[in-house]
Amino acid sequence: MSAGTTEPSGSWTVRLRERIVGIVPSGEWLPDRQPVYVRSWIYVFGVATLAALAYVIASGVILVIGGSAWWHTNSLGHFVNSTHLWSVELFFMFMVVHLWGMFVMAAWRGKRGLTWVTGAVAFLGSIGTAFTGYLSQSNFDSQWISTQAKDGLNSMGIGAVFNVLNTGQMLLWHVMLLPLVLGVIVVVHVVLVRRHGVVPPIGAVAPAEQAGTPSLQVAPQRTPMVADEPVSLGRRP
Amino acid sequence: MSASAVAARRGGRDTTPDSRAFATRPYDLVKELVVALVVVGVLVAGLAAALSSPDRPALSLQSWSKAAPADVVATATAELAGTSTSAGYGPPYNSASEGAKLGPLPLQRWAGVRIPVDSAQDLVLAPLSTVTGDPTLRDALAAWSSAPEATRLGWATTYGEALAAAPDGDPAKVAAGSYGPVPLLAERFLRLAGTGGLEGLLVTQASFYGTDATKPLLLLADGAYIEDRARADHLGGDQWGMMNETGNYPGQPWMWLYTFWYQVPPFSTSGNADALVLALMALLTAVFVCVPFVPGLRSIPARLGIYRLIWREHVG
Amino acid sequence: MTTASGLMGTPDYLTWGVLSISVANLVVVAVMIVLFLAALLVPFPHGHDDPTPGDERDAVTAGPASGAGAR
Repeated sequence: MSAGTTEPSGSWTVRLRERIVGIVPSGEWLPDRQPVYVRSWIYVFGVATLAALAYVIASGVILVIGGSAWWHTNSLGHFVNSTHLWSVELFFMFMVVHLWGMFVMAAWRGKRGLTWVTGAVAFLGSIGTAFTGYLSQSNFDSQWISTQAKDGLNSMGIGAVFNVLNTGQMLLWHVMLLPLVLGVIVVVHVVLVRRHGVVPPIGAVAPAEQAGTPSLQVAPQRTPMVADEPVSLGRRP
Repeated sequence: MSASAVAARRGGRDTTPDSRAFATRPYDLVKELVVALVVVGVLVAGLAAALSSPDRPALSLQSWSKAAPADVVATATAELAGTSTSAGYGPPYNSASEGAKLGPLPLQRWAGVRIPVDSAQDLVLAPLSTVTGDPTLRDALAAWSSAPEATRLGWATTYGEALAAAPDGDPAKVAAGSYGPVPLLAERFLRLAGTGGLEGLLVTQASFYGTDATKPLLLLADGAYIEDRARADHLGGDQWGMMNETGNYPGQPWMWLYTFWYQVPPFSTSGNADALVLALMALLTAVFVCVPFVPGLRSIPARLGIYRLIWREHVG
Repeated sequence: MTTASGLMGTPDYLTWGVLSISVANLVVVAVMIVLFLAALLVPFPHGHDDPTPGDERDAVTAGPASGAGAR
């Protein structure tokens, strides 16, 4: 089926491919231009958060290679553990400043509500992932945090499924399950930013509208990510 | 709110223009990411090299027995008497109590006993019964198991009270009384902890490769020693402990609101504080996630006006 | 305060009534606030290749009205 046809293809492969290609407008996965209003240092905190996350994951992978108790007895292991700790601290610092920035910009406007939601869920998921990390240190911290946290979780009836005293379970949640879930949420969050573009300033009016040209000539709005609705392809080369 | 900001939401509809309708300028996203990776990498390596990371060693049951032997004896006695925290906890460990409630909802009880732990049997008697070459202990265990339950509880409760009344809780200074085999069992338990083998006995009851530390942790938490050590590092619940880390390291400042509630009434004086705080934070979290959809909340940024600093070249 | 074992010395805490915070956490929060304020106030450098008025790449593309209509 050609790209110009509007008739839905019977091929699942074609429909999936067009669905995937249509998630982000053509050329917007890695654009080399961005709106002129994107000119503030506040915008660097999103990428700074991602950079910190990259180091969290990298240092975590090295800790996995060494094993869960490696860092207690090996000085290289302890250094890698330190990079893991400080990359997490920086990750949270940059993420919260990014959150403050996105709030004062009301960055959820223009159909970006899901971007905010995925960001908020990523923040909460990060807290949970860090929590299981504290439980996996196999030191006094882990002993105290687990014996305290169990009371909160048991009071809500979930302490048996998520047993913070079970080191084997908590280590696996921290190393595999939660990073996987968090990774998916972060990817969706970033893809949504690419899909919708950076939110215009509060109260901004599109230049065509400002010039008083008929609304028909204003660039069409992004269609929402709704199943069964035809997705318009990108307008810009 | 400025007229243009009001105009952006006409009649509840979001009329934010398409970002692609605006003029653009060149920008190198990949270069930005690489710069971020270099800068953050330098920061991470520098902080790690300069400040390291905390590693306060785990308490072993052996170190507990050497540092606070009276506490170990008192804890073993409480397990036998059914008065320890774990013995009276309720679900998921046992049915001794209903546990916490969220208003009228007994969520803890609803969850059921999914991790059964008999504090007296699993934490004290089973490990003791593995000891060989000690006929006195064997006889004490036999005396305990052959006595009626009411008698056993009477022995253990009375001995527990006597320990609390003794100077420094010292078992050697306990007043004479009818305690049955409890003093001997508790003393042998202290000796077993001192060998360093007690964790292993508690963890590997089910499997050689035990990775579930539920039982030794419940035992440790039943004593006072772990909390004494935690409070010395400001990790106690009423010390904003949830935010803190051992030593002088930064902890989890993002937990500030969660731990705040524990410091103030009615939470600080409630037996159901855990359930209440968790429920309140769940509600606030839901609101946080749904900010874009909550009228009033979503218009705060326009009213605050801080956005003018970010877009000062593009807004009036 | 910083020794060979990092920051494992006696912990420093500041307390006002029911409020209590470690010096370390306070430093983290202070740095975050400074970063946020700096991000808002420090001007972002202008690039050399910003579009000049009349640059054809900046004209709004008058594309076809989408089938979904104006939203």
